[in-house]
Amino acid sequence: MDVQLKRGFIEICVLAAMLRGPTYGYRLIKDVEPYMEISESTLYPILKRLESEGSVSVQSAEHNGRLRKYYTITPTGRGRIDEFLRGWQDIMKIYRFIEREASHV
Amino acid sequence: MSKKEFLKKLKKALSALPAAERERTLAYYDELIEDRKESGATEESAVYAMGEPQSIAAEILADANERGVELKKHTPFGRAALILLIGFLCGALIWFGTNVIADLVRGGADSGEWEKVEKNIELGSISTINMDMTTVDLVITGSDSEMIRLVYFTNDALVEYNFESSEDTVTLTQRKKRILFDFFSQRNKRSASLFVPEGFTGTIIAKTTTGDLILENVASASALHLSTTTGDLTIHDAKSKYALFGVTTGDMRVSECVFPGDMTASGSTGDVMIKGVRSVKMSVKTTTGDMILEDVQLSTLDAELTTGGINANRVAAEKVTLRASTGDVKFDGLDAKSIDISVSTGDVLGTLAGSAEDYTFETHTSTGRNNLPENFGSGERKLKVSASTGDINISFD
Repeated sequence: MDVQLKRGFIEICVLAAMLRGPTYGYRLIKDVEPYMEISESTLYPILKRLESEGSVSVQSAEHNGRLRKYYTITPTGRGRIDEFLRGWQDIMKIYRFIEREASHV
Repeated sequence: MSKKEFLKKLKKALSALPAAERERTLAYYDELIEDRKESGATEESAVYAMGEPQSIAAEILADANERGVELKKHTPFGRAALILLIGFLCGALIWFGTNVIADLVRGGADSGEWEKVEKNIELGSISTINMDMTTVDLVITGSDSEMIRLVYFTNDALVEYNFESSEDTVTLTQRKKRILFDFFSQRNKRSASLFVPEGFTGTIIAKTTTGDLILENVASASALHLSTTTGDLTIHDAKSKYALFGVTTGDMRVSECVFPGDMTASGSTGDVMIKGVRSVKMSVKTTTGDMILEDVQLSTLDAELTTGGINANRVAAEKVTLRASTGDVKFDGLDAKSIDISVSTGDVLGTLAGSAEDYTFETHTSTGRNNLPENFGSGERKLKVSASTGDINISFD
């Protein structure tokens, strides 16, 4: 998949994986992995970006005697998902156009 | 590769990153390795799954660089702020004198030139190093040089420093310039560094307001007095007779330290984590944050907090006092001659060293469940537990 496209998708996927409630890095990877290729190193800058744009808030909480960061989606983040979903019709239109043109050749 | 090796390599490869960001990155990888281990992976394979430290670092640095570029690209915001600023300045011109305006213009519109300042001070009879920072991050590290070295960045428009050195005291004070809006100074924060020679046996007093404070690898001081307001405080690999640490809303992390005298740590809303510390008397108090104590060896431990939980793993001391109001007190392998735990709405859960015969019990809960006898035994160790509405569930290892 195209790098730019992938980057956009993966951010939304990470946000979507937070919709069920606060979650942490390792679980995010496990939840997104079946749908998109993601690793610890790709997740890190994404979380950072999401945090700095205010889509995600971060709290440290104790887990098994160590600190773990928990990520919670904010209304801004929720807005990004809604925006993505709203844009879906347009994406489908483009997809159908490309598919149709490609099938002529 | 072990986790320790991995983090060490990563840290080295990330040396170009600002210290606070570097620590955050290391904490992230530390957490994810631990999580993989927890789900059944060996340390070796958990570390392997992260990839090579060098290539991870390269990506992170590239991303940081890119973010810098992105920041500069944010002209719509920058311009809007500038227009607002100029608009405000025009209004302000009527009210203030031109001197004030000149300051504001300098602070906002032109973020000024950075100038690196280095001070090398002969150790001589210096007994106190005083670092008083407001907005910048401060990094204190040990060095094998024989001089006390200070490195900081001044900027006519954003930050000013005042350096003073007398026979026995070195003082560096940082103040933010009078700026109407803070967008620029936050973006352009540059950390100050203090390098402490191995032979320094005096007191380090360091304070930051919004900046983070990191002290690392300082081995011979007689007292460390470190505090932050909203910034995080990180202390790693330090040895000092006395230690006094304070944070208000920031987190505190103290690891791999030896304080042969007392260590006192206080926090307000941040979390406190103390790991691998040896001292004689330790007192830790916080209001709403969580407290983690791990691999701690002491003579006396006094830990108190109001709404968070206390987690004490592998704590060994003569006398241990743990007090929490609404949080739980949990422990694993707590080893002490005299233990006094009291909570009000939380539970008391954990394992103690030795067997039940070693203890004299004095336990009580008003409405919770208690798995221990209330007044019983004649063992050498004393265990006093009082929970108001919470449960008591303690076993022996």
